[in-house]
Amino acid sequence: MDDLTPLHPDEALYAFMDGELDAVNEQQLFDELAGNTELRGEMRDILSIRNAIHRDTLFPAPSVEAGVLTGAGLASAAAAGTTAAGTAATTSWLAAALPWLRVAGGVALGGIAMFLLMSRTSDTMSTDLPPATPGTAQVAPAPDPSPSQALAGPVRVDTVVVRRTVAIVPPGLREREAAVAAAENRLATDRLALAAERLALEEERRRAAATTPESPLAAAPTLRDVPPLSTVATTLGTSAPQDLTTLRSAAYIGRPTTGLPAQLRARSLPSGLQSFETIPASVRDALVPNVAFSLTFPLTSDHTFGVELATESFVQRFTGTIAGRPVQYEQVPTLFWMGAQYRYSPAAFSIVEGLRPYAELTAGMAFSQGPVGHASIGLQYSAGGPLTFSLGFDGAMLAYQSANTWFSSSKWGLTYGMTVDIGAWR
Amino acid sequence: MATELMQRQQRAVPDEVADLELYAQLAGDDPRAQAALTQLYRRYSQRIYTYCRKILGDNLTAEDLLQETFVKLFDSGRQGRPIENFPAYLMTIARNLCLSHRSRNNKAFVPVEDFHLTSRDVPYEHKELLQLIQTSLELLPEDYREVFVLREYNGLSYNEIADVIGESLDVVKVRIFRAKKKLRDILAPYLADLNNKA
Repeated sequence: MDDLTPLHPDEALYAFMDGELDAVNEQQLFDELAGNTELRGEMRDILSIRNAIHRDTLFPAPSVEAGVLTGAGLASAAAAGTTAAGTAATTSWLAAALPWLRVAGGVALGGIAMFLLMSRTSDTMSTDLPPATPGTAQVAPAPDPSPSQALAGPVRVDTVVVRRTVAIVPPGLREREAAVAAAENRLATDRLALAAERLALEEERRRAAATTPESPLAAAPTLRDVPPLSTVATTLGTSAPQDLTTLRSAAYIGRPTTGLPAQLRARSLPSGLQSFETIPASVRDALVPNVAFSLTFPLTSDHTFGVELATESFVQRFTGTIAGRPVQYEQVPTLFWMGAQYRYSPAAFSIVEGLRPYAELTAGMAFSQGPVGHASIGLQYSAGGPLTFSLGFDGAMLAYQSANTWFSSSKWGLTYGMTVDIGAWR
Repeated sequence: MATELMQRQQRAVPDEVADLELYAQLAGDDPRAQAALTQLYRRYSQRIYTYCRKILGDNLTAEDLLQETFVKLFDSGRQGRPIENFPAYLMTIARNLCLSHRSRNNKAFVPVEDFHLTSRDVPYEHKELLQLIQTSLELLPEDYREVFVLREYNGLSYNEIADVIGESLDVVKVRIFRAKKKLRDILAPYLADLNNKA
């Protein structure tokens, strides 16, 4: 610092703190410090800043090292490098293939689950059958309203689709469905009576038109032009018992049932960050961070099983030493994981109509990281349509590896989601 | 001098292969080059990353440039380009990449406050001080900020800084002094409060 002569005391102070002050100026500085309170305060401030800066240790993500080796064309080394955060013990070709193996494993698991479900319920799933057999689970036998006695014309029933037996019916559901079916029977009876009345009127008009050709009634609409009384029947006739059953069964079209094949669900996952913490760029820039999507299949009305995939952030901490000093490195990557999900939602514990508790477990594998698990409990509500809403608490844990050492990260928080019963749209 | 000596002692590890020797091994066969590159990366990645991060303020860009720096270093080693001061050479590569990136993107320093990367066991007061230092750094002219980062975060001597930025020693001294003075002036009220609490 001898180039800056004569040195101002604070210039000399800064140079001294940087180890750049020569011996002559050093002694002058010490003399000045002894009698200058302000200069001592400035020295204290510089030390505070320096101490803080020396604690501000920044480390790049472990994956950058692999990127360097890849960029340098040392491919095998790069493949090995990726295992620093994942599977350090595997060989390089296995490490390269590992993500694909995991995807294939997840797909295979989902496929097996779907196959088992479909094969197990193939004879009980809803099928499209023109005539419904008496004594089905969904449609209770109903008294024959015999509206056909008043009808003389032919019978035509349009677009009738019947859902046949659903094998598993929760307790109490059968009785409720029977009550609904009875009400629908009454409605259908009323409609039939109305149709009969309308047809009778039509017949009278036709007869009147035949006797008086000039009458305007000659232009009355024919049977073919009569607007349909419902979406499923345009004319009714004498074979009423079977057709009426068909009509009653048809009334179930569009209603969500518990035995339909699949449900799609989206739910939020806790971020693991405290509310006062700044959201890191890795989470902020992610497309859909902390959201899970699942495809589930009902095993029974209470149990569902399926696959779930998500993008989720976890706070990861690595510890080690640098130059003999213990350091802790922290990052919040947004990971992609895929796994199997089981859900239990007992109808017997229904709190009010449509509201019942659920418990859920998910086990999966985060790509290039390690196993991840979720456990949730909460309440779900369905108003009877295809949508179900859920709210609950979720706890999660991720295991990950760095430098042949396993670490874990856990978090908990609120989860909320929406489920769509695909079958209800059919 | 004492501080400088302490920093150099902290850096030195007795049984380490010299930087220049590792650099020379980059021209060798793949396994040897890979080992040398890995070793150099582990020695210097934190410093280069800190520099890029403090200069650019962006975590992801800093990682990209860190990667690019070492790839360029590897290319130089492959070509057998002679160098004398390895840390200064490496820092010069990183600096040129940062300058190039900044001019290419043509935007001012964008602060990123994701201080989650710092150690978790740092007391709250220190975290707060770190954030204030970061904010104050943003207020400095780029020339001042650069020499400050090279000096305080990377521990380079005035001469090394002069080599890296291609300026005279006097210019470096003046810039460092002014940068620190300005930083201290900005932080003085907070530091006084902190000292009173202590």
